[in-house]
Amino acid sequence: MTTSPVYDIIIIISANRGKNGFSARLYGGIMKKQKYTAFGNVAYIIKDIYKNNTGLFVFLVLSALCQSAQALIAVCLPKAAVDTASAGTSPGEAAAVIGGFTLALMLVNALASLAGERIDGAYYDLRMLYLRRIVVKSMRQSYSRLESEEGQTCYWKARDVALSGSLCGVLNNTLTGVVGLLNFTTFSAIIARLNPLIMLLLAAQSAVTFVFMKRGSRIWEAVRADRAKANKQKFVLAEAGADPKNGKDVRLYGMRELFVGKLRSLAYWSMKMYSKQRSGYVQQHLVDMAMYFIRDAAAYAYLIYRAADGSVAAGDFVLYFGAITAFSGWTDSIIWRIDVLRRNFFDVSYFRDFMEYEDPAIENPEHISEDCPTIEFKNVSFSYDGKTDVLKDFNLTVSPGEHIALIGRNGAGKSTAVKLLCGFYAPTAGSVKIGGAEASRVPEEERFAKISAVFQDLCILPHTVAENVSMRSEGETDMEKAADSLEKAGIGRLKAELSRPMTRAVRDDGIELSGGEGQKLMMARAIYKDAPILILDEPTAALDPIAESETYQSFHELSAGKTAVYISHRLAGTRFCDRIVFLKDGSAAEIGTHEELMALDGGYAEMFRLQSHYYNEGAKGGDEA
Amino acid sequence: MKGLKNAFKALRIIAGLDKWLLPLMAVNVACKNVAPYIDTVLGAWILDGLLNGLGLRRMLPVILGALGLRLLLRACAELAEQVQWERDGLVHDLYLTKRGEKNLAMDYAELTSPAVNALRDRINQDDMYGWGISSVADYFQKLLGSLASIAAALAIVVPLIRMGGAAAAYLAVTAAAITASAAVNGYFSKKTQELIDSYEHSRSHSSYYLWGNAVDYKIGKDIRVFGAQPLIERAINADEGERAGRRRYLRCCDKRGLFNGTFGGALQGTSYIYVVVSAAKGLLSAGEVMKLAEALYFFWGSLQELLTAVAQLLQAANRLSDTLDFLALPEAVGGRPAPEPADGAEIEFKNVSFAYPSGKRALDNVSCKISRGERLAIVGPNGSGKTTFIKLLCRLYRPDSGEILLNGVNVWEYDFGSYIRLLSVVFQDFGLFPLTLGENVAASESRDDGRAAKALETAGFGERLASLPNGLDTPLYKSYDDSGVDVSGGEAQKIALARALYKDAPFMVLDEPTAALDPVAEYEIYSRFNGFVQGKGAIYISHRLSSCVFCDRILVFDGGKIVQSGPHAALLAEDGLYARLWNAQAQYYK
Repeated sequence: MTTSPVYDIIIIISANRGKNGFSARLYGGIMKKQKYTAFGNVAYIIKDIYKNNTGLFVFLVLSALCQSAQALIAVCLPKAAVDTASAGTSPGEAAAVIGGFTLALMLVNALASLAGERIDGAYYDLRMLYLRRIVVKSMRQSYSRLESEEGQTCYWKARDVALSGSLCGVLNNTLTGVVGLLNFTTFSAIIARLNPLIMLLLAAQSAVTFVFMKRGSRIWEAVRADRAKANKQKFVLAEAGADPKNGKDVRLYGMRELFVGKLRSLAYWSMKMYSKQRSGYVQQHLVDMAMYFIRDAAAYAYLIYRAADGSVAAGDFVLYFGAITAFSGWTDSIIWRIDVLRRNFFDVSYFRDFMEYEDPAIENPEHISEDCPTIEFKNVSFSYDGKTDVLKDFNLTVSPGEHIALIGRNGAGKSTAVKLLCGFYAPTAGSVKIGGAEASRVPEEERFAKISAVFQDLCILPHTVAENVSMRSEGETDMEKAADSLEKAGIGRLKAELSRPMTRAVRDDGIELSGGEGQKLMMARAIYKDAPILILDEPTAALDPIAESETYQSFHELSAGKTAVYISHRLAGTRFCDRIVFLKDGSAAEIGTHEELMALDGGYAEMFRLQSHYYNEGAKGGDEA
Repeated sequence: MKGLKNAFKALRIIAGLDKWLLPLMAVNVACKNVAPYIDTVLGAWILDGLLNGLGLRRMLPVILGALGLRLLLRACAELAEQVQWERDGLVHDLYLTKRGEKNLAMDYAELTSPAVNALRDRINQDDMYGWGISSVADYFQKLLGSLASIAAALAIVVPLIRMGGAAAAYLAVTAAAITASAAVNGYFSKKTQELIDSYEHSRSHSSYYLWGNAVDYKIGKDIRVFGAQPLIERAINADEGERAGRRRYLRCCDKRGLFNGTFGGALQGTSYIYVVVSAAKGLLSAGEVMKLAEALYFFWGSLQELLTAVAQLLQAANRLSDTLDFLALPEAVGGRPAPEPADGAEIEFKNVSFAYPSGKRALDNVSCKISRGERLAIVGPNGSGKTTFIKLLCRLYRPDSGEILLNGVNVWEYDFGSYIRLLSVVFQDFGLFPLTLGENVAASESRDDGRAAKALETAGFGERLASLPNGLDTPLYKSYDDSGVDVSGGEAQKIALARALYKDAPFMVLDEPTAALDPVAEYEIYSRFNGFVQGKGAIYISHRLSSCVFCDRILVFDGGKIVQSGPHAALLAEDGLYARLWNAQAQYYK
């Protein structure tokens, strides 16, 4: 087994993943304005590969030399055989001559395939290296860049070119081009001995091939986007159908036929697309075959003509014919490589675009002054897309140790306010300050040292329980503190299993948590970190009433002495907060204690009444609404 | 033996998916592999013709005829190849669809069972390494190709074989060497696979982060706030063991390369030596030397290829056992059609107990009745068996003991399709699909647009629907289609509700349907639902106990048992678990 099939699959998978995963596949013929030159790209890649794997270059040179030697032997060996036969050489002498060839063949072939194995292995390693670098880089870039559409596109393009082998392709195709040139030279020398004019004819043939090849590649590129779309849809749909999580709904709603029908029609659509895409190349191949017919007939006729007047001996006849038929192969390969190399150069740009991107440096970095800092939103507006404001003139000051509840309808801007507080984004207008410093201007390490957060999306990594609590390796984890945090978060049962792996992604015996337990683990993580600012985004949605109530009680304890921001649709939890901020359309419509807001009888009071309605009705005696 | 059997099964599956692929493969490879021999024979014939003084005029018709035949064969191969590749992609897609369909068709209990999970894992791993049904087809084609090539080469080298004595010795020695080299290559392929398996796992930490798209924006916030980058970076960068394994693998590849290169050179060289020596003994003409040496070398090469192809075919077929087992998993079978239950129809749980395959006991001797027209609430702490109760009702799992009856008949006796038509269910971990909004609601390609829009409106999605330029035809998710839309958790919940409404089944089951919704949306949905479920059976599961108040009856679950049952007021008076749950929540709303 070679490793290449692995890649075909992996490339398809990786190219299909992710929010904008497939746009990476769509760049095809449309090349964007280049900020890198082709030469710069080659230098960049060669320098980089040279740094990582200097030995590779030895094997590249070896491989080029061996390949041209092989081509030369391929035409000389038959000539030698025919020569010995027609010269009436003795068996011993004949065996000696061909024996020499045999030894040469064994040596050259052995070195060629050794070099081939080495080069394949090195390319595989390099691809993995680039993939690792890309993933690490994506983790190190800012969150706003990560989440942005441009950041995502850039990431997926870089991944795609790294995996498709385009980066190593620069070297590989250069190598093949060099082999082509070497052989072009050797065979030119052989043919020139016969008649230099032949080379002109062969060049004309290659020109025709080139025209058809360009046409084929144009057709290929034109269909590329459509085919990529079909592939993407097949993949996404198949993944959704195969996901056991969806197994219930597929059965309960009888969606099997819908799924299978869609997939089948996508399969046929995709086949048509492929047929169209390749049609130009098929025509090119047929034209080539017709030209080979003419070329070979003419070559034989000419050689017979020359042999008849005695100027070409039997052995030379074999040699010349071999050289003529091989020659166009080499010219075609040079042309083809130039075309592929051109694409490789562009692909390197996609890689560099991603790897060389630097988040804008923080100008005049600011520093958080107090231990338990004040939080201040002042006239804050924010928009993701530059069109609709998610926050509009939002004002709020949270004093050290104060507990604030953010309440509002879905889409009112609560989670966005939290993202600004974490400094993931800078406000479009106004300022968000932590301890007097503009949040987005505080260096990340210093900023995050002050913040603990429980977000809505559960983030459970396939590491041990302890590592999931501390987000550090076990060696750097205070195990007692981790156990203590789990206990405090109400999931003490994990205390005894601190070193067991979590999730089944990597280990079959990994611990799987229910949604409610997962939320408690996130709480434990926040407790372990023990930062002065605590942010909780919907921490009780999946909890039963008793666990919910316990969480409120423990929240009260955990947040003592900390500045806390609490988001929930369960308004009960807000009772534990010093003040409630009711967000409406991106601004703080009402601010005050529960009692004050109830007295105000505005949006919050209405919302609270809606939720408490049945509890009070029920408490009165369970009349129907 | 198993390999052979598997290979046949695989080829039958391929032929079943598309009858053209295998014949096209045969035509393509036969034409392609026979064509080069025309050059061999023609070149030799011309050479001898020259030496015998044949003129260009005598030779040209033969040359044109032979080259014409070559053109014909090559063109056939090219055209067959074009169609073959198209069909190859098609068969691959249809095969994945077939495998995917199995996931949709097998018993749900099987779908998530450890055995099937393990099977699926191994199949995925095989996919990663390029095994699978396509590899069987590829090796089969190689096998056919080498046979065609051997046949053509044999036809040319027959005179050599007839030469007796030395020829027999040469042939025997070379054939033995080739067999030995096949064995060596068998060893190499086993060894390299072993080495790869020893250091590379599709389920390692580094594959999880590198291939699984794990470091995405969903968990990006946690990674940054809690500074988990070093932890993950260490996991991504392969450990020393992996690197050492990789080095061993590469050294093994070196040996393979050196061996095969040397052997290939020796094979070609000795073919020429043998022929040239025979010629020197005066047995062969110059043309024959050229022809025989080349054909002999081709012959040995094809023989080598044949042996490799057979070995690879068997290896690939052996590796296919998991896939074949998977495809052979039993599917839900028919049964009698379920009746449309009249008003007052009953579903009854009778002493039902159930434990998950992992051994966790989830339901313990549960008995209760649910009638059409009744509104029922199910409450209880996390993990008390509420969702399991619904899963059994939906026939996703079979009770270990006891039975579930519809109108007095065990529900497992009904045809699943007709039974499940009686239930509209929204699970808390519902799934939406990368299809259009309308297809998601109607769960079918054909739909009643008016009803679908109405269902979305009732579920509270009306405003968003009105804002979508393509309305019901809008694809869900940008990852599926560039014109698609991404929806928030709350919106997704509304669409799932609309799907249940559209189905309009006599029994409606909602498992935590409003967890992601704000209080206003929640209130609106409950109010609209109340009207909608008039005359149906409705089951609500919720941690927001306010939803219990307007239910006719409440079942309280604890530790897999029903510990209380009755209307709200009565249960509240009982001072049991229900009152505790209620008060835990209600205290905050006074």
